[in-house]
Amino acid sequence: MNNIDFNIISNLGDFRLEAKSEFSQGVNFIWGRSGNGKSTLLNNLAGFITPDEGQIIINEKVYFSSNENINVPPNKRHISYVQQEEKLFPNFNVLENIEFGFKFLNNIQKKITPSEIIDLFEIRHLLDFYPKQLSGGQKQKVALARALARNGNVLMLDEPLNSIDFISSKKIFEIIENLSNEFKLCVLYITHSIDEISRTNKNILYVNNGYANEKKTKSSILEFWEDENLLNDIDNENYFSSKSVMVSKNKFSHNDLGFYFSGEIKGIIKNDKSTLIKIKSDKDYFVSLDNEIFSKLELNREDKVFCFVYKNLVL
Amino acid sequence: MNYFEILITTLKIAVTGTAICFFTSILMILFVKKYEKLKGFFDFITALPLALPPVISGYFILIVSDGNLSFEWIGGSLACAVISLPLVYRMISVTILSIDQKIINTAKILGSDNKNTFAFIIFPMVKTGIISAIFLGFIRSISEFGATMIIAGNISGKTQTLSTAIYTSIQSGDKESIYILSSLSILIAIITIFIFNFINKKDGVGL
Repeated sequence: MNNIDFNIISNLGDFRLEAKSEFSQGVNFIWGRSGNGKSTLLNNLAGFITPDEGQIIINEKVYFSSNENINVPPNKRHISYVQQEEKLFPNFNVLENIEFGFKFLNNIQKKITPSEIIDLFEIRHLLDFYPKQLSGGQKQKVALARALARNGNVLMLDEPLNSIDFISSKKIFEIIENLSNEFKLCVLYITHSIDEISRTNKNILYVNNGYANEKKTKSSILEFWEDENLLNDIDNENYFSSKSVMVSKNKFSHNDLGFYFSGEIKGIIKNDKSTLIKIKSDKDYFVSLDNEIFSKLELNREDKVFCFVYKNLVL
Repeated sequence: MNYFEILITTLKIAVTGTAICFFTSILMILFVKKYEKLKGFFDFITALPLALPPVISGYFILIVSDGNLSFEWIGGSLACAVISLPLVYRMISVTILSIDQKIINTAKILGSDNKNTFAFIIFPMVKTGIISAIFLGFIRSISEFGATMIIAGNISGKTQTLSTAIYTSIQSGDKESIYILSSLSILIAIITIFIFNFINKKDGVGL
């Protein structure tokens, strides 16, 4: 059973990564917005960046430990890794690219052969081509095949299906999943894509602002993602600040000039001062409430709320 | 005039000069790779010979070497090295510093140690750039005049090169020598540029 366990702190200029988690066999997702440290995390695990503190353990073997002064170089870590926007070796053709990592393995490590991988990805017709003759999607397939031919115990993928169309990407994801089952691989899979996340039932490591130590359920990530996207839908017509609106969980009446609406809460975004909620009525409304008021009201997603907007105060 | 002797002296000075220039550039770039802060300083220093009149560069070498190199062919080589440094250093530095670290990382994570990574990945990528840089240095050294004249002088059979010999011929009005020496120069120039372009043809670079 392949697994990885890490607890590291890594400083890169002004950026600080604090990561602590463990993953076992299967496809494990790592999710977060760009620039929050997902790729930095994988580069630390691969040994491209040396963490300042902590340890990295794969299958009970210590690969890095600041206390014991251990730092196994990348070529000895036995990890298959497809970096973000990875490049193929320009002077090698497709076959030579795929076989590159395989030739450094001993016989026990050779579980799946380049030839088998080539058939899985259906790229046999490309073997004689050079990287500059390939399309973006083909390059990405070859990069994946090359990493898999390395036969690593841990397979790390940094947005591997970015330039591959939806149907092929679904197919390739299945290949990765099947390989992870067959060879008991521990797969670490970075993604932005909600479609990809919806394919898992495992908890997802959430990376935010350099912190990567919290696993979230799939549904909370999906919820969070929807909330993040709320902001795109706001305009002046459907947004009301706390000064101009009254919100209650119970139906109420009001004598002032204005209008009522009621509906279900479909999204919540909090910042230090206020909370933005999306309410689905005849159309979508957005209401911002002071955090104090929001917590008093004890509002949750899917709750039904009643709102009154003071007409002369509409901002 | 012994044209053959002049040709041999020219090639000797130019080849040695190019070699000195090449190894100095490599050394500087390795330093830059290790201590990135040095890059600005080295870029500046190596650009100076390009901006200054070669006579000044030659005089500077003369002062620094305390006159030990004057009227020696190796002094001429050093002059060539200094004058072609801006071209060679820049070309090699662009080639080496533009190698994508991601590709090197990929090779490493695929199990390749430093030796293999250099032999299979780095060297094939920089090969053309480095050979081109050497040729460019050689082309520049062959045509060098000012700095060489100041340090090595123009001693027939010892330090006289094609360009200094042409200078002497013009001074004395020896038209036959001027034509023969010029033709030799032009021939060498055509051959080297032809080879340079042939090497770079694949990459679409050329003179």
